[in-house]
Amino acid sequence: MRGTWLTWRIHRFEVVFVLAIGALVTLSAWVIGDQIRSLGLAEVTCWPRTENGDYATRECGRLMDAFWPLEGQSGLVRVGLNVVPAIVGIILGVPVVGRELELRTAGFSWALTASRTRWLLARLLPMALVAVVALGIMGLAGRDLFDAIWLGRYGPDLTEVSTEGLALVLRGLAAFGVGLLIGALVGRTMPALLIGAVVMAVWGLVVVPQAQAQLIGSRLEWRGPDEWRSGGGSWLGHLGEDDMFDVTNPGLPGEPGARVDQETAWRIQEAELLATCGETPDYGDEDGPGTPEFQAWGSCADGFWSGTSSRMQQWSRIVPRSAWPDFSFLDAGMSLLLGGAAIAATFPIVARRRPE
Amino acid sequence: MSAASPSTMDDPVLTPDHVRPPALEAKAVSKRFGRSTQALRDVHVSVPQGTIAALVGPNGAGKSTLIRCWVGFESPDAGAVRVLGVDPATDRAGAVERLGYVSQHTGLYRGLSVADHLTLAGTLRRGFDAAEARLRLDQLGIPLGQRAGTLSGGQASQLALCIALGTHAPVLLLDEPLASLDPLARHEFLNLLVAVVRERGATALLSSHIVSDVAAACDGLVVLGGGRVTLQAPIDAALGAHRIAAPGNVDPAIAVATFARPGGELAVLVRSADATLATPSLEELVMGYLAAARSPGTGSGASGPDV
Repeated sequence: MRGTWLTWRIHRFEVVFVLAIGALVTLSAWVIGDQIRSLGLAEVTCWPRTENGDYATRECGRLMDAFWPLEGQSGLVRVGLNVVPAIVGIILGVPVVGRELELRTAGFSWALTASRTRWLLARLLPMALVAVVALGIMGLAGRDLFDAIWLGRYGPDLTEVSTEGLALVLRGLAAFGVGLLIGALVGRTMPALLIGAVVMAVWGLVVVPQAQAQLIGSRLEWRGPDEWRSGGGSWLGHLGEDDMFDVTNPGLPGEPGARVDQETAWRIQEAELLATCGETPDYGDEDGPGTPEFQAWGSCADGFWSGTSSRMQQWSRIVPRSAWPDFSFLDAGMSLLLGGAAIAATFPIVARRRPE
Repeated sequence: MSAASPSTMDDPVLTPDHVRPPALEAKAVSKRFGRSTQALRDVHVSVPQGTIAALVGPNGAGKSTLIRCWVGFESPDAGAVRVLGVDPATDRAGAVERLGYVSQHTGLYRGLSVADHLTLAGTLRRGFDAAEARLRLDQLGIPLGQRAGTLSGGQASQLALCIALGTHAPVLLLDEPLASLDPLARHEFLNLLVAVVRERGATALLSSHIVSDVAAACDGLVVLGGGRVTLQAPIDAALGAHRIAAPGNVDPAIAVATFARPGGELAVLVRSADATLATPSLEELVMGYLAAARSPGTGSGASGPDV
């Protein structure tokens, strides 16, 4: 207990800081989530919208008009839930060894202790406990907010998987481990904080999405007004611009889904295009306007992808909400591996490290 | 240190003290940092148990590196060090348990109080005697509730020393602990150190680049220059075996080096017990050997026989 108390005394500023920003995000999430739940969205069925884009009932329209501003406000909180766990982890992790090396206090302690492993554990465990408590409360608040948002929203992006529950806690602990390791390697607080932030940004923006892409293949569902006729068509005029479409109106039967990415496509039957306009002729000179034959074919095909043809249909690629836990577990598992590996790697480094 | 004849840079291996086994040993230790900095070159040192030795040399001589080798903070590139027979490279825990260490930069936690440091030491070191450390701090007038960040340089060094003494370690390594102290604080620090070491029969190695600081407190002397041991001997024996001569009439065979005394006057340190010549001060003795290390050709004695 004396060691824990001293660790708290040594790191009290960063502990107070992370608890403060954690509390800010947590309270914001709880307040907005409570406001959304108080709308009573769960008591009415607003999905799917009607064919002309209206909500199912007038009551739905009234509720959703109240919902969207709150959902907009929650956006900032969701950004916080995405970023703050990594900040909490890095700020708590880096100084454990990094600042001790920087301020030369490591030499004082290491000259007294026969076991640097025990020294590291005595420093590490109280800070990890602070991180778990702070992140755990944030994770609960994040889940509370998302439960509320699910009531009215089409669905969050997969980039938001780590903003609630266990995935949030473990993402923060991964950042803690990364901060701990980089602090031990670099031996300087500010550079270690910056490097840790970059590592976690790359992790969240590149590594995890890459892994998610592997999982998406087995969880993906295309949803549209018509059933896909396999082998009978192809994607034409693929548009990746989310805001060109009302993606909040997926026209799905049943529950709302989680949007995987921004892919929405207009689909027509290739056979129909071929029957109407024929095979695509040669373009001719690449620098020219195209051969007369190609121009004629293009005019014919324009009717299909101009967005006005009744033969084109809007499709969206989604992951149903029921698959959300799969991505949450993937995120949590990857974070656990990263954090565990980083913490484990810190011990031999501390054992061999030359204090300044 | 050997009982009678001091070792010189040409014969840096200390003559074994057959009475007292060594507490600290360095055998053929070399250490390089990067490509250009050779911190230690084939260093041989032996500090007998129950003595206080001064490790003296200019800044950059390798004093801290050698001490850190004993603490296990550095690994020699060649050779080996031992603390009471324990090699920190193979048994760091065993070496640390035998050591009390005061770093040049005390390494205190600025945000913790003096009392917190004693508590911390108690959690880190088995058998740490917090009561004794508290008593000594009380005698020195250092408030237990004061934050380490607000202590003066002298008080911080005293605190670090009291913690090192509280370990009851049989060997104390003190790396430039006097550098930031005013004369009164140096006096108090050395008094405390000497009293405790003598009382316990412990061993201490005290590094400094200010020779006069350690003259009164130490039994033995190790001079490091350019990463090499240029002299190691009991202080009394070393002083008795050297004289100061005026330049010009010196037998090159006994000359160690010519150096400038304070005020600019040139003098030659010679290996001689000639009663008609002046006995050097400890500072002059060290300056002579450092000058010899810097300019090996200055005095033929630099490559001559032992004293």
